[in-house]
Amino acid sequence: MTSLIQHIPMTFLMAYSAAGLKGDVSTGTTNAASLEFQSELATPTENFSYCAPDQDEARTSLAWIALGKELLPEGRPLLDWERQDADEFFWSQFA
Amino acid sequence: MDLEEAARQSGVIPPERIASLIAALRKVPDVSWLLTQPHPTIDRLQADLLKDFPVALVAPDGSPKCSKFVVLIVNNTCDLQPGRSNFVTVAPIMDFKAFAAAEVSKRGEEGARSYLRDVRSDRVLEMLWLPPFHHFEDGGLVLLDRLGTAASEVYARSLSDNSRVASFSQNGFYYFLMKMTTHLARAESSEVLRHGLN
Repeated sequence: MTSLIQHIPMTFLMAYSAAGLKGDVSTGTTNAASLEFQSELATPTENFSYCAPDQDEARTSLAWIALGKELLPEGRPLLDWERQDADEFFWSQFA
Repeated sequence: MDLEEAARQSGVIPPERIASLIAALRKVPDVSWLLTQPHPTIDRLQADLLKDFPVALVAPDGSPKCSKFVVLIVNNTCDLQPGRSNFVTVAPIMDFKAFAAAEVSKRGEEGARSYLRDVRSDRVLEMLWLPPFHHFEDGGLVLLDRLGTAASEVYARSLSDNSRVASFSQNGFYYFLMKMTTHLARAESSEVLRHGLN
């Protein structure tokens, strides 16, 4: 069965759900995932639950970078000769 | 910011998993905990490792080159689900044993030692070393700066052919995200001055 919901932007679903919260529309639910289920009239799309919830993305990204730096403080980019050797080896794998 | 504080503030790691992650991270450069058998119930996961996956590159003369590799799936799990992205992005994985042998052959034992140690310890930003899995006796080397893209149908067929050879553990996946973030989002040199201040 072709999935309808995959062509509906998430922003629309959120806005639609939020409108439901304010009582502007009646969907029987205020939950975007449930709304998706109702729109599908069958089974919910398999992918929906694997998408990340909203977060404070700026803070999250900075903390994540900090975590990486704490973990690998001696991280460094490839030196020129190392990159050249890696390139050579890489191309050899296509022979 | 120490590891625990950074992990807590990341918003990515559930609080109940932080202690386990910190314990795992304190073992680095021992990263034997990174990989597991392919996930038994979830078929499509970010960072899964698949064998015999075609990777294409454009050669210096402009011609396309294609070969099959063990690859790491780069896409977010969300976008790997059926009906979402029509493409999948992969990073090819080299056999570290062959890579190291080529390096030693070119630079000699002494000349290659420090470099190979850095690679093996994941100090090189463009590379991710993986512990032994599949037929990689001395581990695998993910080249994070040589990504390829394929149609999602290729990925679907690969899954149908049971080509998954490993998945990342939960803590291993966090480690993978840190490596990717550090590689892609590392600070630009202050010597780089861009036009425009807005």
